[in-house]
Amino acid sequence: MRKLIAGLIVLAFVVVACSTDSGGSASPAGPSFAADSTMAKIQTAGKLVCGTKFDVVGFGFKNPTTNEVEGLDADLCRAVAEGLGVPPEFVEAISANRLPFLTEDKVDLVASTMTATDERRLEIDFSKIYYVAGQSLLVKSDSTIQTVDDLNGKKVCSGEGSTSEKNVTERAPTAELLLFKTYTEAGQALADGRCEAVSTDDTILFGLAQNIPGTELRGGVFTDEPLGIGIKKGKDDFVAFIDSTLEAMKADGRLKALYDKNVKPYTGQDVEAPF
Amino acid sequence: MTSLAVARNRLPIGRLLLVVLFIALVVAGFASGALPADRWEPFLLVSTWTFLFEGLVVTLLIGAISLVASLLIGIPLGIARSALKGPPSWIVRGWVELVRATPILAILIIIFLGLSRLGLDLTAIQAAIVGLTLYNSAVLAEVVRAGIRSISQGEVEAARSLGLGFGLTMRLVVLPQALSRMAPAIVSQLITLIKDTSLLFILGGQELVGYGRSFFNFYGNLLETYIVIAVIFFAICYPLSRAARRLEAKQPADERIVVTGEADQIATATSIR
Amino acid sequence: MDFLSQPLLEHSALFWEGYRNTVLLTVGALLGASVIGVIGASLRVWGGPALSSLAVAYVEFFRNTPLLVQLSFFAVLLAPANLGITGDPIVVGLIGLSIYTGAYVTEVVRSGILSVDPRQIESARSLGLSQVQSLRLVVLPQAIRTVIPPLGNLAIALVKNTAIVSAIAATEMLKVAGIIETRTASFDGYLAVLVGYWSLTIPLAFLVDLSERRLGFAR
Repeated sequence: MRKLIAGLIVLAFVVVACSTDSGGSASPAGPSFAADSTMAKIQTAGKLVCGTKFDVVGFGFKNPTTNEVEGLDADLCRAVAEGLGVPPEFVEAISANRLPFLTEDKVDLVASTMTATDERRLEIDFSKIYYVAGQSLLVKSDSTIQTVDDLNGKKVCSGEGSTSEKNVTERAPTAELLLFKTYTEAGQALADGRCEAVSTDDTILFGLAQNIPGTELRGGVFTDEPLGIGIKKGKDDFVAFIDSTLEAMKADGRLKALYDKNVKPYTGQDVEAPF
Repeated sequence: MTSLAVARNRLPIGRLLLVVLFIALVVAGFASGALPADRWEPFLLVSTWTFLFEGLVVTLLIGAISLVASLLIGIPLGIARSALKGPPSWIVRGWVELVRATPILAILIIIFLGLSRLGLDLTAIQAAIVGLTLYNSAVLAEVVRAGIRSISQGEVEAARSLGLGFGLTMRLVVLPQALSRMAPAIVSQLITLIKDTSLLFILGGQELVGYGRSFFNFYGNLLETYIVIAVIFFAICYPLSRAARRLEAKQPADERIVVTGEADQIATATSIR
Repeated sequence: MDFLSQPLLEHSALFWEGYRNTVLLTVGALLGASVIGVIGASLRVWGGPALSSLAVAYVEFFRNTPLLVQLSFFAVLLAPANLGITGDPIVVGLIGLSIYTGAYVTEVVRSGILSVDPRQIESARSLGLSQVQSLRLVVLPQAIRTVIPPLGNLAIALVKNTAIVSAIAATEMLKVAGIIETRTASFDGYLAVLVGYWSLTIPLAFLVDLSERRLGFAR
């Protein structure tokens, strides 16, 4: 009799444990989802296609020697893919094409140092904010530019169509903008003097400052740029899945480890998860 | 004619002088520090060249595929253009003229972004092939049309009076002659096509220029990389350009085909005298 | 859909700036290329072996390499930190397009010069005219007839090539279309810019055909 009761209790534990397991937290062991959910479709496709930058150190950077994409955005994509049990596939999403890539299903998600603006929220959905960046300035160390207001009448490089170039135009209306498709080119233009400052998220600038000798960030941060993972509208289940993945990573310390690995070397500071 | 004849005989010596000049420039570049020697060092590694070679293969593949596709579309289009009368002819003509009046980079970007808005999924390389084919098929259609027109009406009438229908006349009489006349124009267009593959870089595609740029990110020698890439393109396009001119030299001047608005074709047509 | 959509109306000043710069690049580069072309052709026809070969090297190199690579190279080379000539992408575009198109113009002008019977040049020289004078008064007027249709074709190609200057961050028409598209997610910028390019290339093509017919060329 006692053995029967003990067996039933063990059975009860097992049943409870199993049902908790399949409750949808980011457990990598045997994920399965409702048949017509976005996650199931991704599993059927056999891969998670992520749009990331390929030239932003610390967030999305393709290492030429290893051909691997490194950085916080890439690692977040890997975590989501792990939660789905599929391999991640990386596609380069520059500022100019990441929205069309999402809306036209060229990628499943975009983790590309993308600011979650109200304007963009009209077109796509965002996950929880995973990092708060800010727009700043990169100048040559001997430059007289101190803040964004000093940019008037000067040549400033930025990314075509990015929120950064709009902000510069608003804060310094007479600044002359040179707009490039990638920030690498903008950095090169700063290096050879075609522009006197590069303005975009500090996250991007840190990488540029690393690669271009004799440059530094100035003027602090003059905007609040909350970065989120972009998902096409109509995939609420996927947004929920990504959010819960992020929550789990915050809880078990994986998120902090990613911050320390990817961001801290360039900012020199600890990062608090903004959610 | 004397001054020109003398000028031509002196050219071989001139080529020797050119080589000397080039070497002098390179040495000056090293010495003055403008093109420092250490920035050229990565080009001594085999891994550099295998890396760039990948980009070159992509470039050549895109060029070849686009050329074949452009011919497959352009030849029938050109035949249609010369055979049709009235409104259908105007539609074909309108399409061809509009496409040719558009910058190739604009076509590439519009196809890359535009098709995705219509729901079609294309990588940068696929979009480039579509765009290059679209543009070059229109140009080749004009080349074919001009080639067909250059075959004298007398031959066409003779063929018809022998009982050959339109299709047979085309296949046996007109096209064989027209194709040989079109050859220099087609080779010149191939040169344009190969140069235009470099525009893929703007779409984010990885062809020779794209590989070069990422190579620079690693080694920091942008100017030197551009020079090397330019030399690689030159090594491919210059022989093609010589071939086009040789083909053209075999034709009498009044049979030459030049298509409006295409620079490389004019170059071929006018460099022979 | 309105003909003039909201995104276009908001950015109309930007569009006209782009159109203006496209025209500026075209006209400027055409002038620059003409100067270079006349010099190059003269070197080719009348220069010694060294100068003539130099001209050949220039022509062959710049015609057989992509314009994008050339412009990117010049943008970096002429920048303040290197040669220090200019940092303005429009100026770099003017210089780069002039050099590129000049290679083609050289060949066109050369064939124009060679189309004039050399005995005319010899007669002019023997009458006491200097090289420059015989060029200006005897050769050029006749050469111009040969040269106008191909130059017209080069002008059309040049209008189309100005689009590539967008790659070095110049605010010409194609760049404007890109800015409008990424700011507003509207494709209308590209449509407007297509019309803009056609407004330049189609009349030019018409003029070239007209000149070919008038100047007696059969095609």
